[in-house]
Amino acid sequence: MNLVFENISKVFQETVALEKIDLTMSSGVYGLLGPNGAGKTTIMKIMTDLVSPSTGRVLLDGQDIAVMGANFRKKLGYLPQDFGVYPNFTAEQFLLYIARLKGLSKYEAKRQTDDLLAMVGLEEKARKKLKGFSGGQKQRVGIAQALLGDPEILVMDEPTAGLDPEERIRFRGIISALSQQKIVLLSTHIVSDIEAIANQVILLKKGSILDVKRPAELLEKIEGMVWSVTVDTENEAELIQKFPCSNILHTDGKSVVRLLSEHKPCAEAAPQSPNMEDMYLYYFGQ
Amino acid sequence: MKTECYQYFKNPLYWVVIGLGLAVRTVLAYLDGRYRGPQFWELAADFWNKTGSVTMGFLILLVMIRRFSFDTELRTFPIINSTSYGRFSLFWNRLIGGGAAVIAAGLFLYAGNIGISFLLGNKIDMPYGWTNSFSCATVIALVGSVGYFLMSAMICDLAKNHPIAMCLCGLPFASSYFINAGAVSPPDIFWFLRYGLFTELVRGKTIKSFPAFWFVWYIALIELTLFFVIRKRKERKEL
Repeated sequence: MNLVFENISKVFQETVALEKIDLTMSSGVYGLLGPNGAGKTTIMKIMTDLVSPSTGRVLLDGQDIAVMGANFRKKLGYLPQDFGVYPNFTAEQFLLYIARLKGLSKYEAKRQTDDLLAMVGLEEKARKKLKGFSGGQKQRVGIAQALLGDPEILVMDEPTAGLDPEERIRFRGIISALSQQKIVLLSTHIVSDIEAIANQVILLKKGSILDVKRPAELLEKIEGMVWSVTVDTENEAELIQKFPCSNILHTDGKSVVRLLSEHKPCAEAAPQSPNMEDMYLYYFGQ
Repeated sequence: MKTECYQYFKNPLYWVVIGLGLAVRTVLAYLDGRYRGPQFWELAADFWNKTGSVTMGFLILLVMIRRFSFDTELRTFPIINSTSYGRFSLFWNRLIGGGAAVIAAGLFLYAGNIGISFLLGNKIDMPYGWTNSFSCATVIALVGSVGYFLMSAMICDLAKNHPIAMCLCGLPFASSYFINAGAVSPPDIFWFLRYGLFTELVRGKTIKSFPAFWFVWYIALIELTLFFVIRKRKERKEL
């Protein structure tokens, strides 16, 4: 199974949200990384057939998803970035309702609802009304509804937003387990999530794809460019003005500054192993 | 379709509005029996003209058509719209399920009015053929209510905004109660407001002036609204 973006552009009135996107995706987890306004949500909405591209088309195994219609949506699970729930429904009723809309039989809807509520750790809240759920619990209901029907294509916009660290780890486990036969596209600002579960990272900036690479390849690219410098607090400002800075740690009147620079920034600088935050800063930093 | 129909019945407001309508009818029937005894059954047969139609209007506008905009209001729209049957088939099921719920509400009101009238008017002689004439009025009211629901629901789906749809459909509905049928004639706008938007039928009355024209008009009105719904849904990628 492969999903191809063919020359996709999207223009909203006079704003270009996406520009000539060409991308091929096959089974695996793809992490979509980019600053706010880069076009991540737009690319996801086009991929879920919620928005028409201004030019180009998306093909699933050679067929245009807009033409496939319901047959495409049968294979799709989608978690939007900002979604609501029916406040007077219980978590179980909500999932059963979505399962019916996904075309699952009554028996299958009940079976999958029970399994997924357990998977996201909400089995004890199954019969509680959604209006009493916290943001994180609603997010878990959202994740569960996206997984209903065992979709082959899973699109998740900021899936870990509002989840506590334990839930984030649980979510990563779920996605890793599911990713074998599926195309999973997820966008997040939490770069460590991408590092942990994505096979490929799509870097998006101002509506264009900068690069599509494995996380390790992206880190290799900035190998030897990350430095740690311990300076007096007074000299800190001068350094971070000169070089992109990914972290500052204050200890005993000194500052440990983590910088990105192609050359050694000063004599006392010590080389560091790069992480995904450094990589993010390298591509998207000012 | 069954799931959608069940959602209407599950809404407590559906029962509250029907209950309030019947409560008002109970008070009126009590007062009619006490102070207007000779006209008791005549007034009971006139149920759809005021209490019944107003109850139906409130039920349709306040409770039922909201299902056509609440996915947008509650932000469940992207989830629903990305499911296989969450687009036109869901709209269709909500329309048919709503039609069935309107008929059920009409039948509850019909049975309620008969029950209340028998209970409070048991000492007053019921005229011959009363049940028949009330049943005929009920059939007309049901046809009108279903038509009015379909039109309002589709307008709500177009606007995706419940208050706007309520105003658009409610104002002509309400104004028809203040337009004297005897004082209007074609092609007067008030004549059109009185007969053109299902109100006369919801009130359990047949339209005596130009019935063939209105029959064609009502069919055209529903088809035209449906045409705009389909066009708008295509634009919004909801088809």
